Amino acid sequence: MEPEAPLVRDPQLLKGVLPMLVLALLEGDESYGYELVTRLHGAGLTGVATGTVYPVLTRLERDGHLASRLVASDAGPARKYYRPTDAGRAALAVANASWHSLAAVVDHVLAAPEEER
Amino acid sequence: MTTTTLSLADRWRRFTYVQTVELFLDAMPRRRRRAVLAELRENIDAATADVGLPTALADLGRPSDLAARYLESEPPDRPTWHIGALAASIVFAAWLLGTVVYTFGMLDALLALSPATSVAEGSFFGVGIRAEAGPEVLAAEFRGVSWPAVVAMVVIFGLFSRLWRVLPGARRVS
Repeated sequence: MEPEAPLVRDPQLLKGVLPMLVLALLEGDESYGYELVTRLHGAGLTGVATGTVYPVLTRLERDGHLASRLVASDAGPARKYYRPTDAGRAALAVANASWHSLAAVVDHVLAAPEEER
Repeated sequence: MTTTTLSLADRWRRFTYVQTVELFLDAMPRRRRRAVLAELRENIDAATADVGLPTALADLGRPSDLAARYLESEPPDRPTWHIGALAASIVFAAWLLGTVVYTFGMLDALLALSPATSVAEGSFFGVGIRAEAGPEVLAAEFRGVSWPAVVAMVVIFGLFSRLWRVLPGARRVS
């Protein structure tokens, strides 16, 4: 069995869906910034760096899609934990529906024979 | 567990990193910029506790790139005063250095040409320079204003601070 080629992801593609993924992960469980990055890595997005995620968290919080709270830590300074607000959950639902709608079209186009496209 | 007690060198690295980000966030409103930087410091400290400062800063990438990502979602309609002032200062420093070098060149030439006290006059970018050199005197006198340098500084300041953003029509409609 041949080893799988490393998957190269388009940064622009990831940029478009990252806020949705952040909201989805935080909907499952609140996290602080660096922990969220490790969760994204664990989900398979190994190329995502903190320098990409922190601005997304900042923007989502500014837009009222995330709320945060400081939690004391034994391992260092207090951590800022983020969780979706009601507006964030609504935005996630819209983004989720949009993504599946777009993915269905993309899958259809990619699956169709060349002459039918 | 990674210790969170930072060495002086690490504190300096974190300070310079955040300061550099702040420089590139000049277009962001001050209150918003302070909030973003405070959050960035919290995130750096939390990441430092997990993986250490070198990795925490390396993961963030270049300060200019990070600032650009923060700015992507902000209305880019404010002039970048700090960047403009920095660019104008560089022009001023270059002009000052050029004037000093030119003046020392005049004095050096006078000393080389004659053992007696002698005087020479010249100008550098509009500033009149009177140099006097001899066994017992070494002096330079400057007159006038270097208008070319002033104009260059004003133009550079305007360009780098994106001065046109103060015009009402230049503001982005969002």
